[in-house]
Amino acid sequence: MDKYEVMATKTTPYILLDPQSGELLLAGESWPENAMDVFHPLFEKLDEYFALDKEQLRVEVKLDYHNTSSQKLMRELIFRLQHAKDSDKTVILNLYYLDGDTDMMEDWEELMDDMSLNYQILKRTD
Amino acid sequence: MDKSDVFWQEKQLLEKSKQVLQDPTKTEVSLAEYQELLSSYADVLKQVIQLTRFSDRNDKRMRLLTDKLRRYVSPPLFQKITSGKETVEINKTKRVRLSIFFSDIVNFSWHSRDMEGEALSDFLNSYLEEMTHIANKYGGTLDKYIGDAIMVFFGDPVFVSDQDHALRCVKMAIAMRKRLRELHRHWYELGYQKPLFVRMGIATGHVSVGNFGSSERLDYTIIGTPVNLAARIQSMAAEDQILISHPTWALVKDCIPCSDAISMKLKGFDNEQLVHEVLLDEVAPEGELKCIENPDLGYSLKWDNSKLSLEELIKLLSE
Repeated sequence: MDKYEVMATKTTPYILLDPQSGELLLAGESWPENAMDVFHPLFEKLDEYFALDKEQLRVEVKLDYHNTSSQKLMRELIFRLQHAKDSDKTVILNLYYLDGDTDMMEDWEELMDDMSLNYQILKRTD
Repeated sequence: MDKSDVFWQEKQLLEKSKQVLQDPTKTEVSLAEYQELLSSYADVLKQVIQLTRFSDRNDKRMRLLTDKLRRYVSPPLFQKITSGKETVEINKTKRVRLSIFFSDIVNFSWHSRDMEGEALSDFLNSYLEEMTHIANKYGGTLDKYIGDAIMVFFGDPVFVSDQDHALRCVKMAIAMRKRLRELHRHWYELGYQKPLFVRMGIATGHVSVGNFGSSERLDYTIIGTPVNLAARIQSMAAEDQILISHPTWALVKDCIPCSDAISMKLKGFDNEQLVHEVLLDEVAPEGELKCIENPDLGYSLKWDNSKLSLEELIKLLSE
């Protein structure tokens, strides 16, 4: 599997899924016309990644802003990660919020409600 | 099922539920099927609750941000941008006839030389706060502050009529000067020795109005000869004096007493310019200025009803 990298645009985030390092990074803003155009190809790549028998995935989410459709698909991403964990994969998830943006912190807290993933909600320092 | 739809899974669930009902071989729904449906419904409900809260938080974020930004833009322009009537694009300008106001504090550097930084900003901000409040009250578009100088224009983004713009502009200047006179005592008590005076200048004419700057940083402003003229007229005004251009005078002369024309040589203008001094000290409250006219019968009367009632006027005319 090749590295999957999508450069950021004004309305879509930077995405990097690196099978070598076992890392997934989402950064920037996500408010596209159709959020599925961003997330559906990523979900396919994730399925491909987990099919490689990789043991671990580290996920870093550094979104500055995302719309409701993107939040819905973030929820789906979390379900997929949960499913991977339930299939004995090691998933480490770090969800970041901007300093002072307590709303985003709440967004992540609510999203992770009822999940048994190994996750942290962290304040951005960059 | 179209998997490019964000809600494709929920739609799939609905379809599946419909199929169960439409199946002619089924006479009843099994407990397992009911359990599955209930579980899916609970999940969808949880999702709806989460997304509603998320959306509400995003709305709140947007509201707070908008509230912060509104202080950087004049109220009429802010309203136009947020109502979607103003497209925020560069090179989008138009020619409009506006009335433009400039003012600055006489000898501001002298006033400020002994002030500490904090006292200076408090003093300047309290002055600008008062003046801006008056500009907004008269519906002016505050273009910018340049140190202690203020630039306001009338006629855009909301165009009414040339006369209305010029009248509101001159009335605003009179109201500002009156308020400053009231503030002399207040500032004296705060320790400022010398009363603060301003020079004010107004001009009316065609300018280009719109978005100027770069695609990353735009200013909604005006450019054109009348802008320079207003600034030059203002620089020629004496302490506490309001000078207006001849075209502005032509629009307000029936309502605002002004001096005869004064011919002035202004920097940047080849020909001498006619200007007038505004001689009115106080503006009648809105709605108090009454008018009766009938050009066919040869009369036109305007009076301040807050000072003179109709009965008193009739009595005065009959004497």
